[in-house]
Formats: sequence, structure tokens, C-alpha cells
Amino acid sequence: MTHSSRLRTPLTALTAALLLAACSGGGSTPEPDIKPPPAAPTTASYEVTLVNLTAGQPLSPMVTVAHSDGFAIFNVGEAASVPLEHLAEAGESAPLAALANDSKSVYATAVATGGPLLPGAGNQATVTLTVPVANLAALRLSMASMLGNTNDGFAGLAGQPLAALAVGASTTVRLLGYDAGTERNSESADTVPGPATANVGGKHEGFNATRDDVVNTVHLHPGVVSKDDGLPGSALTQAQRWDNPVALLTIKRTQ
Amino acid sequence: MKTTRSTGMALRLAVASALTLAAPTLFAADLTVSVTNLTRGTWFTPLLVSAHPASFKSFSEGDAASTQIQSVAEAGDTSGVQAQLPSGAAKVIDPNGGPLKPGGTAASPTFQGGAGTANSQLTILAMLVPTNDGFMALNAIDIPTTPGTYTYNVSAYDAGTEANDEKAAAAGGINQPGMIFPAFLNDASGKLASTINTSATGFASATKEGFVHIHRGIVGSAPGGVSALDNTVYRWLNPVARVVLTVK
Repeated sequence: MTHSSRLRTPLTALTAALLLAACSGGGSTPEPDIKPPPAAPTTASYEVTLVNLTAGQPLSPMVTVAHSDGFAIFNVGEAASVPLEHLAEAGESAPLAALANDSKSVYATAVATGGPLLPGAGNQATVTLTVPVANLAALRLSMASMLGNTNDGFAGLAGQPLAALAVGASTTVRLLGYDAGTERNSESADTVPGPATANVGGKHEGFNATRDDVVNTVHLHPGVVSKDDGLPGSALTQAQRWDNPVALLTIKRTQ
Repeated sequence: MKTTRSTGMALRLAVASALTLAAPTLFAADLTVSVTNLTRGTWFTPLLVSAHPASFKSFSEGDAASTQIQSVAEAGDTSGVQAQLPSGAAKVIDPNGGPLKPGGTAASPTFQGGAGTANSQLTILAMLVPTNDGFMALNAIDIPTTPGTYTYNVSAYDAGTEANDEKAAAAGGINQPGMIFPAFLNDASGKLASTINTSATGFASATKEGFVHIHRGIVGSAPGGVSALDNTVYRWLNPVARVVLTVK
């Protein structure tokens, strides 16, 4: 158990709306989250790289967690945690990272930097997770990143086993889009914080503690309907629709 | 297994799970599966899980569906496929003890197949409700021979046997246009969910496709629209199910 390898202050100065609206054009810059890097072979390191496969959904800075069976970032069919609700509704990574850091079953947590990961242009986001070799047998990886032009959609991975990944080897997972079940999918400019609703009025609200969705459980996202496909009140267009997978996550063991 | 036709559905709502095992060999692997419904508002009719020889396949993608698959996809009736299975196949019928709700997980009892048996492949079938002829299928996959836990994301298929008109059926059973709305779609007050409009006119242009393919999803409508189904409740994207297979 090492708590030293955790990133403690992810993105606290930035609001979700800013993160999602920001359009730096350069995408995310790969940046190690751990300093100083471990030198001894008593730890294993994983480089985790995210590529956005959608046409019109910015991905909020991903939260990645290395953990054992005692932690779950979400379970399909169960209610989302409030920290996951913050991520899925507002793109806020700090509450979910803090939740992970509070768990004794978590070995390391890292949050991507550089703002939202936009589709295209070779953009990718990379973080590094370092865990004690003694924990490898039980090691799992989870991640979550908001689909920015939704009410409460996120790209997610829950408990991918990593024990079999050898040094130098990598594996690529095709991520699915999930719905946190914490907010009704109105797709309105009042409730969707991402850039697609930036110029059409509305409040662009991020987190709201009210849970008013059809089901208050995490499920596979049905996709956005959009105003182009018959949802009155939607501020979204066909450009924000997607199909699965929504992202690629490549996990490379570097040490 | 008994089937009830009075509603046109073969839903064994109150029947406990039935397990039929093939004669085990000395080297048979103990298998269990769990099936999770990943969708937002779509139910699975009682599941059929079977470990069977590689000589059996309940359908082939791109080909016309059999009447037995049509019965699964339009009426949730797996009895025909059960009857087609080779005599030595292992069957787990309705492990959930009724339809599987959105977000729900059904866990099978232990059955045998895989390494050391003739039953080297796994099939799982269930209708998606509400759809015209949509079903989820893990279609005759090879059962891994190495002990472990294996996860599969499972897609919805369209049997191609009925037009996706998305309107209410006048009657149950196969070869009837329209969608069935069984009682499990009712809300807490016991009435059909208000997100389903039984008087919707449906998509007049829809025709049956004639071959099994990946389901293109529910279109739906805003309230009062052409489809009987609310487009914020009954749409889904694949995968619709997650199957976890444990091989011991």
C-alpha cells in the first residue's frame, strides 16, 4: 500500500464548464503524474493512454484508478456514487479521485491534465500509474471520463484485470459509453455543460444533486437523440451522436 | 418446460429455474454464467443458456431465421430452440426465474461443458422487450478450455422476421405485426408504462428484412409521435448485455 503515488490535487482550480468549453486545439499533453519516479523494481508502472473515438464528444480529464476487488468505480445496475455523478454531469474529476484515494483497496490514482480530450487531430491523453509489485496479483484498472455534450454520460471501464500484463506488454480496451442514471437526458442547453450548447443560451449546468432520470442506476448509454432526430428541447444535433466504442484505452506496463 | 400461450408470450414468470445436465464425463468443466442487462429500459425474456456440441448453431448471421429463432425474437419463446438442441446438450432454462429487468443480473447454477465434453460451445438467447423481433444472443462461441473468468459484451440482433414498425401488436405470438407489451412493462400502479403509447400508428414504411442481422436499434418518438416508444427511454446502443463465463 503506497499512498505516496497518488495525485492529490487534480484540476482543483478549473471549473467543469471551463474544462469542457476550452478548445486549446492541441489536445492533452502526456505528462507523468508521479514524482519522483520509482527507481527500484519493487513497483510496476503502467502508462495509460486515451484516444477519443467520437465525432462530437469532448472527453473530460480521465480519472484512472489502480485497485483491488475492494473498490469499484461503478457497478451496472447500481446507483452511481455522488463523486461519479460529479464526473458524469460536470466533468469534475477531483471528487472521484478523492473517493478513490480514500479507499484502502486503491493502490494509485491519476487524473489526466491538459483539459478535455477532443476528437481527432491525433489527440490523446496519457497518465502513469505506479503500484507495488506485491499488489500485482489483485491489480485492476478502472477509469471514467465524461462525454461532455451529454447530461450524464461517460466513457468508463470497471475493474479490468491487469495481473497478466508483462513488462513491455500492452493491451487496448474499447471503451463503452455509460449513462450515470443521475440526470434526465433532456439534452437541453440548461443541463448539458459541453461546448455544443455554448452558443444557444441556457445555463449549461454541470452538477446538480437532484436525481431525476428514468432509472437511478448506471447503465449503457442509449446515445443522444438530438433535435435532428426528434427530441423537442434538445440543444444537441446529429453531430453529437455516437456509437460504441467511444474511446480506446491502451495500457502499457513500462516497468 | 411448459409454455403459456394465453398471452402469446412464453414467459415462465413464476417457474423456478430448471437445470438439465448432459451426462458428465470425467474431465467435464464446471461452468457458470452471469448475464447482465445493460440497457436503460429494455427487458430480456427468460434466458436459455446451453452448452452444446459444435455441430449445433441456432442461427447464422446473414441467413434467414428459423421458426424457432423467430419464436425467441417475436414472442420470447425458447422452447423450440430447446427442442432442437442435441440430446446431450446442457441446458439452463430461465436462470432468473422470470424476465430480466434493465440493470439486472441473472446467475446460472453450475452446469457442465467445455474441455473434456462434447459440449464445446455456448449459446445464450433471449428476446428484447419492447422490440418487434429483437433478441440478444451469444451465438455458439467456443467455451475456453483454460480455467478462468471470461467476459463477453453481447449485441442485440434483429431476427429479420417482422417489420420494425414500433407499434402495438393486435395479438401475441409469431407472424403478428407489432410489438407485445407484457405485464412486466407496467409501472408501479399496474398500468402499462406511460412512456409507451399503444395508439401510435407506427412506421408504415417498415418491412421485415428476411435475414438475421445486428439490430439497428429503436427509433422511438417524442410523446404523441409515430412510434409507440418514448425515444428517451427505449433506445439502446450495443452491447445490450454482458456475459461473464466462469470455467473451473
